[in-house]
Amino acid sequence: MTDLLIKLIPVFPLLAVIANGLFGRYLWSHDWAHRLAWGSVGLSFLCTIGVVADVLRTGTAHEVIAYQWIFGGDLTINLAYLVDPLTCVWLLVVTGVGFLIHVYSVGYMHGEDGFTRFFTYMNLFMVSMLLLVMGNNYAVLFIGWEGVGLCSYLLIGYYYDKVSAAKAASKAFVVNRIGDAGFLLAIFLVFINFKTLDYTKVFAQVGQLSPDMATAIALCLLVGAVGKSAQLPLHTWLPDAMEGPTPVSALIHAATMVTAGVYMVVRNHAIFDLSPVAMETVAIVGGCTALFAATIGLVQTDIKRVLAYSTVSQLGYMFLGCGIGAYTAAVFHVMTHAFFKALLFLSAGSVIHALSGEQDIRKMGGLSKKIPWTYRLFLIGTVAIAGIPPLAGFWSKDEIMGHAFVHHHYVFYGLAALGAFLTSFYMFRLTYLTFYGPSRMDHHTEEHVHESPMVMVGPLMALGLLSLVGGFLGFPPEHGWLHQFLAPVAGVGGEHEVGTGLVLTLMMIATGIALLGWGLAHYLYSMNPAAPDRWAAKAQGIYNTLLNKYYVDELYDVLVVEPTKKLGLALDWFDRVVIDGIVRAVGTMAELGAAGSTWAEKHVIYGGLNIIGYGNHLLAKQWRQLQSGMVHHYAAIIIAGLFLLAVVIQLIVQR
Amino acid sequence: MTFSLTMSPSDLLLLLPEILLTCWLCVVLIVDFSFPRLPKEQLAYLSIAGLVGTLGCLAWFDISGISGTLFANMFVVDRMALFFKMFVVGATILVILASMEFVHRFKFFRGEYYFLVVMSALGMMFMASANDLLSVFVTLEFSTFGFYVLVSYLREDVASNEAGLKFFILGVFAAGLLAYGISLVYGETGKLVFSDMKSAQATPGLIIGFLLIFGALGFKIGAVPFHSWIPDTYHGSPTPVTAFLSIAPKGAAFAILLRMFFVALATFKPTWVLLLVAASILSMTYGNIVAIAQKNIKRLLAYSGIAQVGNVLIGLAAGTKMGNDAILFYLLTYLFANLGAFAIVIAVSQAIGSEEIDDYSGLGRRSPFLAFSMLIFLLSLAGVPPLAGFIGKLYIFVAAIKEGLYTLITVGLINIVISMYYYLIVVKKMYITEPHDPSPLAVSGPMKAVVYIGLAGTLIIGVYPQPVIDWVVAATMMFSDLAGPAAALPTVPPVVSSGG
Repeated sequence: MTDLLIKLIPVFPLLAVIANGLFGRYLWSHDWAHRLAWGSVGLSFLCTIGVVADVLRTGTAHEVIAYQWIFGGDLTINLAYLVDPLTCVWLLVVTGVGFLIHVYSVGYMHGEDGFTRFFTYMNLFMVSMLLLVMGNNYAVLFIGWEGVGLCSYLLIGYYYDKVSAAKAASKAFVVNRIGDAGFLLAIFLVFINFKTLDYTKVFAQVGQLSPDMATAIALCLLVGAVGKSAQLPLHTWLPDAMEGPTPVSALIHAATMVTAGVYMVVRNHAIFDLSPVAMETVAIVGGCTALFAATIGLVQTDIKRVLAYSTVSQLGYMFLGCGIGAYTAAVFHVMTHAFFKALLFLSAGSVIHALSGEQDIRKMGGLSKKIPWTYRLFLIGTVAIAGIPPLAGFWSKDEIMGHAFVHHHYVFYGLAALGAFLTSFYMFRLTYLTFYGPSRMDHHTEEHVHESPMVMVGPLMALGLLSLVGGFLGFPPEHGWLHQFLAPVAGVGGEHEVGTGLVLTLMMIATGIALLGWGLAHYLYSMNPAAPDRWAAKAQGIYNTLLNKYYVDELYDVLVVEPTKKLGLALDWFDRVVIDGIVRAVGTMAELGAAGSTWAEKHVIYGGLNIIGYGNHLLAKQWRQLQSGMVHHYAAIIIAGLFLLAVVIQLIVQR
Repeated sequence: MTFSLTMSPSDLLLLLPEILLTCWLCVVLIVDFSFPRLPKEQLAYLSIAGLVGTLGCLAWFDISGISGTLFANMFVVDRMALFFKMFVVGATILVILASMEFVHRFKFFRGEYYFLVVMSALGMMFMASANDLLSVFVTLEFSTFGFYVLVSYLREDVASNEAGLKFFILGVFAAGLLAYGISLVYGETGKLVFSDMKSAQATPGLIIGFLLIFGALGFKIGAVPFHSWIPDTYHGSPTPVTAFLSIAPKGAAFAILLRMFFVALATFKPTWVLLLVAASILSMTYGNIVAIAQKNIKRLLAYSGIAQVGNVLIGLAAGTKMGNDAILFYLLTYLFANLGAFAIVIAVSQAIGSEEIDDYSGLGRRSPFLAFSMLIFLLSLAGVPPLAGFIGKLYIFVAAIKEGLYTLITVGLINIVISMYYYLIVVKKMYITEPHDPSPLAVSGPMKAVVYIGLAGTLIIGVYPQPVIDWVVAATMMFSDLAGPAAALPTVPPVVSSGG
């Protein structure tokens, strides 16, 4: 029964993709297209609940083979699923949050061109994401990995007639390719070492791995994870990805796809655990990204871009957690982050919707009265991400930071604490600029401001509730329900017991840091609105560096993109002149050969056979006019062929 | 020899699909002349209904495992016969769907067209069950009579008439070879049923007799050097008839070839391996090379068909159960890709009135649906993964590798490369060359159905071949005791076993 449910989870969205993709434009209206889309995800969610309930009850992982896909030599790859507690967490997040975002999209995308196309891509994304987290081997993981990449590309470029969207889509795709190359290398290395790609078999014999090989595999995996999860130095695509519709940003670029890197690291923690070097690298990447992205977030003026940098920064926390061995805390943060970041993005979408597409926070302000529900929910999201107890973000972030402190990673603790302060600051800055103060909207926009319809606010409320109470799944810290659930797959985080006093102190400090960020934002953007400009003018250099995202994009352009383009042009020349020349020469020869064969058929074969034919003519002169002049040739070929084959057989028989 | 022709009701059951279709055939004919005002489309649907019923009946036989022999072993019903019957009936359904629009071009006897198509199908169903030389002759001729008429159905078109006449003369010639071969074999052995000949001595008369029979069947499948009628006849015939001719008779003739080589001649395998290797190499090479020079899409598909038959003969040359499975599988993939391609040729010819490859220029813009489908079908014919044609070629090559036929495999692989060239020339025309006339093309409903079925078959079998493999493996279970590796037989010439 459970096995059937597991198999069914990805089937519903797949059916919706097929139905909407093939027939949606012709056979049914938009109403049915969206019903199919969110309905299918809802059914998957129900199946997921059934499966999770079973895993909870029995405490065992399920491995289900859907069908044997590739088999030959050493290589056997099944389309098979592994559902263990780790997968369960992701399944719940993907289908649950995915369902809410699908429902929200019905309102948000209303009246857009390509409505059905949007839902087809979204469902395709769900299928890929489900394969990614459910696969029991690296090949299925990779298929899902590429699938979500494709859907990300398609959805970022959803407004394909907009140049910036098309460019952002290509950028996301190309940057991800770099990560995928690393991931593929890792898969090859795994196969060379273990002769299998199934997780269970690989992890069972992981002990045989030499430390160097473990480091190599782990680092290659990390390259993949860094690309997909937009970590330094491959983070540049995620802010640009905000060109896609807002539900896409919420689903793909905040709640689910970008956490795939974390999933991969946690899934492979057995390999990472073998290599202190790799662990250190993960932690450094995570910690640096967390702080780096947060600093950029301070000065951005596009509501979605602030959230995008905040996503990059929060993903950094998750990697930091993985790097210091706090896998459960990282997974916990993935989950709470999915709640509050989806909430923030969707509320931001609601703001954008209300302002007829305006995304610049300098042209907002004073919205708290006009769209009260959106405001309240956005505020919940802000408080949650800032890390103010008892909301969701506090518990998970605090656990990562606490783990860092307790295990003597003081540098990382410092990075994380500074990042937390900045996070709190820029999120409240965003809230103040958007919802408080005088309105800076132009007259026309202001007239049209309206609260979003229930179909959008409803999912927001559900996510708001989850952001409020989601943190209690991991309460008390280190011993919560989630920790016990994940214990079999993620290992037990805190081996050495920590005194309650220290834990409480760390919590107080974390809360203090968050409140400090809030306080500064309040001072700058509410009490003293002229101050930010003055500060910016004073530190012109820093301000511009941050505003231009440390000039990373420009650097990459000069170092990589332009040289690659030149190389491409050079290769194109080589291809056109040299390779094509050879191919054309070969083609010409083949054509000559064909013409020659045709000529030979006409002149040599028929010519030869004509001798037989002429004999025939002499014998039957009066039948001459009845004959087409060709048929007897054909018959003669048959006879000649028979003789030829008879000779062949004769030769064999004589042997 | 005495024939016992008394039949019990259970014997009649074995004939049920044929009886059903015969009765339906009469119904179609009666409806046609009783209601002259009835639109001929209705007649087509009526025929399809009968064929679908027959198909259901065959499937029922296949699932419930009904089998047996009739008329003193002349007529056999086993899973392989059922496979080929379903193959023929399926092909016929698709051909009728693809013909419905084309039939308007016929000035006379539009209703009888469907009658003749279904009658030929009936003949080919009998061919699939033919188990002795007499029934081979009778059923072969029965199925061909319909084609003689169908090929020259465009009465006012000189090319069609010429094609019909050539086909008739050469067909009769082949029938002569067949009759002569049968008489020689019967004279030497005194036997007619395939399974009785296992213990025969290899006398020259017997060998010549079988060679002549092979010639007649080679004529039917269009293998070099018995291929000469194919290009002209394919070119001149009404296109749906060409489509029909290019697939259904080949399937039925392979049913006979399989029984002949694997049952009657199983013990002579070392003798005929090289014969088939020669025919296969000749067919592939000749078909592919000459196809390059073609300017007409029907002639191109005709030569491509000759080459494809060469591929199928690889499986026959392997001479094992696996080769046999691979043949069945290959023919099935060929059915979808080939009929699909022909359906598009018909659709395009219906819309622009031309079958020249030049006029396919810019089809990608004029009708993205047709161009994309054609692309899939051509790639499947060329054997590109993940399409069905790839699995078919892989299957047949693996069967041959297991028998050590390396020379044949090498030639086959080279030929795949050559074939890629002319298939892709069509693709290039469709997608890269500018259209002469950019107006979009209309496609009729039944034609779309054929194309969709072809696409579905090509894609599904390509991605998930296992059920079909299971089916063909089960269909040829009676050959599971076929001769082992060819290397064990000392008489195979070294050029075959060690070349490559």
